[in-house]
Amino acid sequence: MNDPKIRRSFTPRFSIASLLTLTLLIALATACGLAYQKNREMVQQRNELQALSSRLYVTDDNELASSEMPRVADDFRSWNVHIPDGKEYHLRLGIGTVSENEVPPTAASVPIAAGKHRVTLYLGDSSDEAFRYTVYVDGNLAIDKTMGNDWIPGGWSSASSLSWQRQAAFSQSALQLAGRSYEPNADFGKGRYFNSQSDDYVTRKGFRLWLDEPNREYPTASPFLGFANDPSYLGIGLRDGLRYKSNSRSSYEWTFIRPSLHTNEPVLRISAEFFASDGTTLSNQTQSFQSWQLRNAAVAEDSLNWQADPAQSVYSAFLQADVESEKALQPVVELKWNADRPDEIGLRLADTPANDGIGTWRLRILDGTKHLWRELRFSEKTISANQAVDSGMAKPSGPRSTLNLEAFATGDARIRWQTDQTMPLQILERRHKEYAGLGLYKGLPLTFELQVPATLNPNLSATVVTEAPDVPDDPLPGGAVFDEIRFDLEAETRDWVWLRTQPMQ
Amino acid sequence: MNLLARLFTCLFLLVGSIVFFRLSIDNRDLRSRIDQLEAELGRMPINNEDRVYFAEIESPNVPPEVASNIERIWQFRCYFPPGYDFIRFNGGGRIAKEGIYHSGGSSSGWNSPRQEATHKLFTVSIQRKANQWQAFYSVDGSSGTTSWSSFDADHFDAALVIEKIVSSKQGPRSFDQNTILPLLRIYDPRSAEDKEVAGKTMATYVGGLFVLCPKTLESEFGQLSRGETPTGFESDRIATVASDE
Repeated sequence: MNDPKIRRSFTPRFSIASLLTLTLLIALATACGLAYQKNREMVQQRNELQALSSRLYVTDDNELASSEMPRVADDFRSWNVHIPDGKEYHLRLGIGTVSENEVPPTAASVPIAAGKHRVTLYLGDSSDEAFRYTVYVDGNLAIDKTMGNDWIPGGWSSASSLSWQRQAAFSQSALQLAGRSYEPNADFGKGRYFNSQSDDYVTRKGFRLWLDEPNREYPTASPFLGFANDPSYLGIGLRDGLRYKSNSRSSYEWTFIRPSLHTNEPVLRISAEFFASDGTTLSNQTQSFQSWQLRNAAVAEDSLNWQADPAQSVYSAFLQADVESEKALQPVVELKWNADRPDEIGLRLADTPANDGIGTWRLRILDGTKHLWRELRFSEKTISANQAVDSGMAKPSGPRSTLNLEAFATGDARIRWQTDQTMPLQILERRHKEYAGLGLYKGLPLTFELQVPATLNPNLSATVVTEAPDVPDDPLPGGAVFDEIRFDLEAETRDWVWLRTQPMQ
Repeated sequence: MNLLARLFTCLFLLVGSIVFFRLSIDNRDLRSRIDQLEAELGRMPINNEDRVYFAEIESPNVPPEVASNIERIWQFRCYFPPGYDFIRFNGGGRIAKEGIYHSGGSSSGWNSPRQEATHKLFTVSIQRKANQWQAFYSVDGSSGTTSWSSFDADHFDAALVIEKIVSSKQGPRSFDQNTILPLLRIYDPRSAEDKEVAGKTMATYVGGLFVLCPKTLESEFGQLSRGETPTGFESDRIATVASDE
């Protein structure tokens, strides 16, 4: 039982060769581990250095490639570029009207040979330098284009970089080096600084510099925004006109923006109310209301997805009320944009059975205290908010008064309203402390207009306020304003109501 | 069993040798690429990842068609540690020989701090445009230009004093994150003028400076740039000059 021979048979035995092999394996594994660790460190170091370097690393000889050199001056930009062999390429400078989805007309185009080159762009983009754009290839002057001192009258306040879009209209085999869109300077005099905001889908003046095949043509960009590749957060509608944009802070109200008027904040906010003959209503007080769903058609389940068609100048979108309660009204409203009516948006109850139970509907146009609406116009007649209060035309109800305008609307109603200020309200708010904190509209002063056909039997009214919102007993500086313009409309006829916003004359 | 173990051992040795061979070749190529890039950008080993590093690039890569339009250019390779939050300042007018006193036009800005460490280039150039000196900087995708109108010379002459906190001759330098970094200071010693600043007389000169300041020292920076001395502020929190040109 205790035989030492049997015990020895369980003791592991190693030959010199197996020990050497084991040592070799451990050494090899350690060497591989260390080499791998070193490799990772060096890859990171190389990537960091490469990001700082202006060297061009070409991964595919058959494709255009570029690497921008570090900027060393405000008015120069340089790139190292690679031009593939076997195909003719041009360096093209396009100058003119431009936007994020528009290539400007080619101002100059020069052939560029296959191989590696250095391209430098000089930007003399000020009135002082007559908007001069100069391009050098390998240090030699290739393009020199001057647009003239008055190319952008009044100059520009900011410039934003344009990208080369990933959509069919843009060639994916081309390579953009630079693109810029200029926000025109809105000058309201010394000490009256105007802070302008918009997005790059607005048509402005600018340029693009890119490498491309010599004769490729680019179509004129669609005036609409809302196609598959367009960013939905910038709204749908006309790029330079009114766009519908949902607002999470105000989910019931319809909000419209117009960035071409130098602000991205809502220009119009409408709260609609719908009344059925059986007493059912839908308004911002309806608890079961969830959201407005944007669709391609009155009866559709999929989200809005416009198809780009250059021949199409009119696009529609449908707002379907998503209400939890089956008994509640679920109206569908159609919005219409027409490229020939760039300042307007059309609204109507969609011609669909979902709207059949609706007897009347109301459009409440809100935010008069943000715009300081103080003048209402019907053809030749103008009513000021102060006049409405002082003359007793507006029936008081606490700090608010209601002005019934039914008597003024005969036939097709056309009503205009605007502020009494000619200066942008952001300047007023900044320069006059009594306006501070009112959160006034940031864009250019506007005239609003609504056209309602007589067939809708419109009943118009307005609410006048004399106190600042959220601050009871604090009078509004400058007097009363029309806080809300209201239109009661019959629902039987499905005619269009047109809303217009345009800069004040 | 024995045969299987030998087979596995041979296979391990073979695969290990191939992997090691491939990694060695890859590492040699990487080393060569890194050497090329460091020849262009300068060598800057990061020994303490919590400090800010600068190295001056001796010969910035500037195309001749651009260089002919620029009076002077300086370029620095920078390492910013994770979370490093700083203000960029570019001012021209009257400055002092030391500190960051400044009187005149200026521009400043800042980016959101990054969670990860970043390697960047900081470029500064001086250009004569519309009969004025324009001072340009570019770092981390941001750039700006300020007119240094107080300089009335037609060109940057040898008499001007140019001071940097890091020079290509001395090699890279690292700084604590809480240090104010007057990266570049240029002044004309011939333009000395005594001024009453914050209750004391100070010699001021026509010039300009580029400063990186930790965001945490923003209020101290404001006081220092007005010539005041913040309570309890130690002068060694402003980086010293590396060398004169």
